[in-house]
This record gives sequence, C-alpha cells and structure tokens, in this order.
Amino acid sequence: MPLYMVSTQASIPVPKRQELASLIMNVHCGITGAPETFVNVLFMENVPLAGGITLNIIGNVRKGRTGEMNNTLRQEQISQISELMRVPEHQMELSLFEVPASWIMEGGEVLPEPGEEDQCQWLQAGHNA
Amino acid sequence: MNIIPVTCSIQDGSIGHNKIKQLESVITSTYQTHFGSGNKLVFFWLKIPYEQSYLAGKLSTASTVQIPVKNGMPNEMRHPFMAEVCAKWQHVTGCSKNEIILAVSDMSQSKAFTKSMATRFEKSARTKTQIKILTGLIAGKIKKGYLNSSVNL
Repeated sequence: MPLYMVSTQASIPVPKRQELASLIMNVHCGITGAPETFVNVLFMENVPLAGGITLNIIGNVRKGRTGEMNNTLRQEQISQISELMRVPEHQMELSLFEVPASWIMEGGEVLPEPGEEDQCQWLQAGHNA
Repeated sequence: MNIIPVTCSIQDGSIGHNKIKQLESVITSTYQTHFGSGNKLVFFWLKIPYEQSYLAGKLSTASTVQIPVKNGMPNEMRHPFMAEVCAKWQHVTGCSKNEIILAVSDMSQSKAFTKSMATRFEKSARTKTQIKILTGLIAGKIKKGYLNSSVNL
C-alpha cells in the first residue's frame, strides 16, 4: 500500500510501464513521505474504459492524510503521468481510495499510520521489497 | 450463511493448482475459526501476467489478497486473523513475508471498492463487460477447478 491500478485499453510497452511505475512511486513518496518499498503498481490491459478515457488509475492509499495533501498528490500524479504518457489530462481519470493502515499487512506486519513511519520499529529495522 | 468474496491477485504461474486448492482450504478454515462457521468464502484468482506489476519501482513477485470482514471488526480480532493468514500463505506457497500483501477491509469498504472498479468501464458496455468477466472466471473453474481469470480483460 499504496496500490495503484493502471487500466488501459491498449497494452503499454514494457519500458514505458517500468518508467510509469517509477514515476508513480516517486510522486507518491515525494509528496507523502511514504517509503518506496510500500508502493505497488499493477497494470491491467484490454479494459473497455469510459468514453474519451485513455488511462484510468485507481490508487488505494492509506487513510489519515489531509484532504489538501491528497488533492496535491492527485493533481501531481495526473500532471506528471500526462506528460510521461503524452496523454492529455482530460483523457485521464485518477481517483484515490482511502483504506485504514490497520487493515493492511505487508512484510508480515500491520502498516503504520501515515506520518508514523519513523516510529515504526519493524520498518526502521529494514523492510525490503 | 454469509458469502465472503476473496480476491487473490497472483503472479501468473507462481502458485500451482494443488497449492491454490490448499490455500482455499486453509484460509476458509482460518476465517471460520476466527469469525464463525456461518461464513462461506468464494475465491477469485486473478493472474497477473509477467511484467505487469511493480513494487518499489522494480518487477514484483508479490501476491495481493483481499478478504473482507464484518463492518467495524475490532483490530484485536482483525490482526490475529491477518497474522495467521500471512503465516499460512507463506507456509503453503514457500514465499517470503514480503511477497504477500494482505488487505482485510470492512465489507462495506470492499463493496465500495468493487463498485469503483466497475465504474471504469464504458457505461453502455458495463453489463457486457461484467458478463465477460464472470464467463472468464467460470471457464477458468471448468478448466482448473477454481474460479480464475487474468487481470487483463
């Protein structure tokens, strides 16, 4: 978590997929301060998207951040992904779906609340992707 | 009898048929032990083709498992269940603790998420697409003995 699900009708070439996964991670971590090892990106192809939409992204993110931070995160993701993929912003949909951290387990541990990563012992002890 | 939909997104070919049946069995018994025998779990196995998932910017080998529970389930009950499912998943598959991502959400949140996934589809093609997904899952069950399909439609 976060888990970003990227849906497209057409297949995205593998090198571009790699670039997009890294970009999503960098934007997410740059704005939220989340560890990179938390960031999952899943690509789904051949999805019959709503009219005029080329790229649909649903991001499951930890609940507890301010609305302002989530808006910034959403806008920055849209802006940078649009540039990388050369898709106009109006052809993209990106929604964030908040999930309480205490409902998620990764690396055999319950995730810390957003902003509490520094106090999380198992994370500080080393969490490898 | 409560029907509990369990969605497991796994790397294509990473878990054999017998292990999938074993996982269905141990997760069901774990769920019933923690939350009652009146729950029937229905598993949906979604295969992720190679090079379609990334973790920390690198190719991922992780599986994502979503198991909803009753709304408002206290963490004192939720967390022991989560720890047991992760441990059993690792035991059956032989994967590392970093290769299992488990989400145990409230049922209402899980339903809202499923609904939001469906709104991606072209409105006029929504029913047709959902029938296609269902048909694919059933075809997978006839072929392999469990409901399965690809994350690609």
